Amino acid sequence: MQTVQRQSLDEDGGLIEPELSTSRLVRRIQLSLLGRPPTVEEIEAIDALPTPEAKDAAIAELIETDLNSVDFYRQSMKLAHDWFHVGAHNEHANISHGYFTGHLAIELLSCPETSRHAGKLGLLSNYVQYGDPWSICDKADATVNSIQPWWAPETTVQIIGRAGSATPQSAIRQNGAYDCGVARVTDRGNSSPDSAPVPTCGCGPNLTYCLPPKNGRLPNSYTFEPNEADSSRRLASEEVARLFAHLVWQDRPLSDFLVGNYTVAPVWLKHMYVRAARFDAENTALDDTRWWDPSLWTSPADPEHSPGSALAWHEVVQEELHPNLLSLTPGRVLASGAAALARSAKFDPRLEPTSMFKGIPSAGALTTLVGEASYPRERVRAARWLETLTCRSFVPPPPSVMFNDFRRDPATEGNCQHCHTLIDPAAVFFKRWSFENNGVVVIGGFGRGDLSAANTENYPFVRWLKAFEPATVMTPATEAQVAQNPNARFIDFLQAPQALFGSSGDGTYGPLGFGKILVETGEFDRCAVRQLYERFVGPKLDPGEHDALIEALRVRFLAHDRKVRPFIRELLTRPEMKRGL
Amino acid sequence: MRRALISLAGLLQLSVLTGCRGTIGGDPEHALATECTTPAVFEALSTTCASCHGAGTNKPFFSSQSSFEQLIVSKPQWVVPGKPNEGKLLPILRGEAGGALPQMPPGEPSASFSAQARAGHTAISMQTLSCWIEGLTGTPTVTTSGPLPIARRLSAQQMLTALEQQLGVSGGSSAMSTFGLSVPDAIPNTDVYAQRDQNYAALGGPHWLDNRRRNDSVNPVFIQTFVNTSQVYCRAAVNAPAASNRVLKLASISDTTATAAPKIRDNIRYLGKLLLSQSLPDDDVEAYFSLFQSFETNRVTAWTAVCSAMVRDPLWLTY
Repeated sequence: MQTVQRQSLDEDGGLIEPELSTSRLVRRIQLSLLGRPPTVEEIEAIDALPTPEAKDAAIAELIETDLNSVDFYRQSMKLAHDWFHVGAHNEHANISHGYFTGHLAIELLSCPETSRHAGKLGLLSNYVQYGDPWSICDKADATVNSIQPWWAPETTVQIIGRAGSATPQSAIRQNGAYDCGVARVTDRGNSSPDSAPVPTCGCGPNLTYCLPPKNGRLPNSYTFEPNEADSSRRLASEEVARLFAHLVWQDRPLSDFLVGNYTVAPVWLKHMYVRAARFDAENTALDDTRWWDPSLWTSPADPEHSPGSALAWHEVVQEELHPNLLSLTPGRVLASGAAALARSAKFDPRLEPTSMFKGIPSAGALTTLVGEASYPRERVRAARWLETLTCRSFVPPPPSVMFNDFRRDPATEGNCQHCHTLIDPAAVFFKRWSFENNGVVVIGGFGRGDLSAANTENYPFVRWLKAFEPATVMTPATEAQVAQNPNARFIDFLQAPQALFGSSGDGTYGPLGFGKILVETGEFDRCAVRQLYERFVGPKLDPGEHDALIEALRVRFLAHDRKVRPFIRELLTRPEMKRGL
Repeated sequence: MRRALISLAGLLQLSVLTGCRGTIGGDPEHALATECTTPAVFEALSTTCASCHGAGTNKPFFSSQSSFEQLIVSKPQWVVPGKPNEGKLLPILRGEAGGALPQMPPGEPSASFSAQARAGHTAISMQTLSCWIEGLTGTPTVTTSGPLPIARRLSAQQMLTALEQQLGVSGGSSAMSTFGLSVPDAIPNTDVYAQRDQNYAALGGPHWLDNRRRNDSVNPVFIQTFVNTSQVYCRAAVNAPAASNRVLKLASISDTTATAAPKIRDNIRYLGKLLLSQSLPDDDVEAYFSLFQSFETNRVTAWTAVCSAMVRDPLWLTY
């Protein structure tokens, strides 16, 4: 290739590669936008056109057709996978890999075909603490309720026994009042009293505390497999890529990816969010919302599903599903573009009581379930998001570089500072979100994650106490402040002179604060144009060599309000697009 | 054929990464740069700085002279021509820049560039740096790098999609044996023995569910797998029933150069459009015709050779 390129450089007086023929240009466009080469018919149709003008017009039309095709949406997802490489949900988080517990829900089972109540669903188990005995399926006087289930809202299912018992879904346990919304059985045979439902607990309104059965499959396995279309784990794993593709498809500003207050989700993924939120007793109001009813969804959805489908990836404000992912807009209105960037929230755990803390400001992909579960722990989240959103790479320092001795802060001491100088001011923003090893989401400094009320020998508290060392870059609270209020360790915003990319931000805490700094400093835009240019034009741009071009592209990206599709359309008209082999 | 070999060798060369240059500390025996010019300053500072700021690093200020000029010399935040005390470059080298990163190299005050310079461990003194900035006038002329190489390699996914579309055979079909391709992230994953997933990985992946990134380099494993892939897909296509055969469109498997040379040439031209999206020049048609001829005692092998040679052509592999 170098030989071919050099020849064309000589012949063309500076152009490194020859101008493409029309058919080769069509091939480049189809591969770039659709991921496939053109067919012979497509090539012959354009070749047959009589004039260069007619061919140019046909190519322009082809580009428009491509940009509005489902295949382009799918290519956008592939681009997102390549760019952000968010792995499978719970691939690396502190969640047991042997079973997937994303729904934190109890599985319903079907009465046997040979029984009196064949096909009716119930909490069926021979262990009394897990549900009704199987013998209930043959009882003539068993209670049967007809209920509209969250997973198939256009239908009703017949529920036998306590699974369909009426609200309020509460019972008395030996330790007092029990909220059935936190009852779950993650795998049968689990005898932990904390995870077993109490005998009188049902499945809640519209069965939202439960999962439907899938005949012939082991409990929970059908929600676990990442290579199955109807697997919840698969849906959760796709969320970040789906959100990116959605922003492209709907011509939303790409900045929404990290500062918007919404995501996209089909009903199964929504259920995971709702269950994650419902594990906090403060969020019982979720029981009264119809988050699962697609007839109420009017927001845009993906092109692979019909808009009214429960399986469509509908736009949804995260706070609608998880009240602690704050929308920061009146009436939970969706915020996009400048409105999203204008959102701000301040909370200083050194000064304000935990009771004033209401949650984490939602921040697009940065506050998705998979964004948190695939990148476990604050420093890993920071490093991965810095790599992907600012196009950086972290490599160890060469052995010849001398550093001061490490004592307690990797951001300022020892050879770790080579990377942690940048990572730790970013990690500040990602400290609050963690998972218990059974999959329960814990928000640090709040509810189940309140350090002042926690058993600090349990995970994640024991880790937080070790990792959030006071008076370090990542935890800029003093020993005295932490002693007075343990939740001061969760301080998750920057305060001058602390800075990330030279900015201390506006004091907004959590991932939104991080996202706003990346957008406002131009770091994200520069990375985005590099990624898009490489994907759709070809060359990999080096900020050292091509700074002026990157800057020029950034200006054009902003001129398009950070909308990807119009920017791609412009990229495809650049002269170098017509160069190649 | 020759073009294909040259191209693969070229791609292989392109995949070799350049290493970092220079070390902090440097050789105390070296001569200090005294020339107050940008090339001399770039070279002298690189000795200390390029190990952390060279090509492929987060801040590649010293990946090349043009990089140094673009990212440091022409940025007023770092260098104000004629005014050594106004930009941030000299203060940060002295450890006096303030903010989140007051010193370079970071660490104890003794690690600062100026401290190292005083100890004779740098290739240029602070005085010479000051002299250089004083002598700068206006915006520097940036040394531009050469034109960008545009063509890039098909990804593993694009290769698989193209092969299935163009040849009408599936990576999951039994004809592929273990040499086919399957996408480990697909729904469903059809590769029960994992061999086809491995082939896909060898062609660059990715496997995003496992956090394995896409790799579009051309390395020995890629080339080895690519050769097998081109041959096995083409053979399966040549062996397909006549009614659905995408390779033998204008010739039949019984045609030979002795009995049906025009049909064989026509079919080669057709394959050019199918696989390379272009009309083949006559020279190329004749080259493929000769290739066919050399294998035609077994026409399945002969057409497989023609087809797979086209797949290995840089016109197929790049876009």
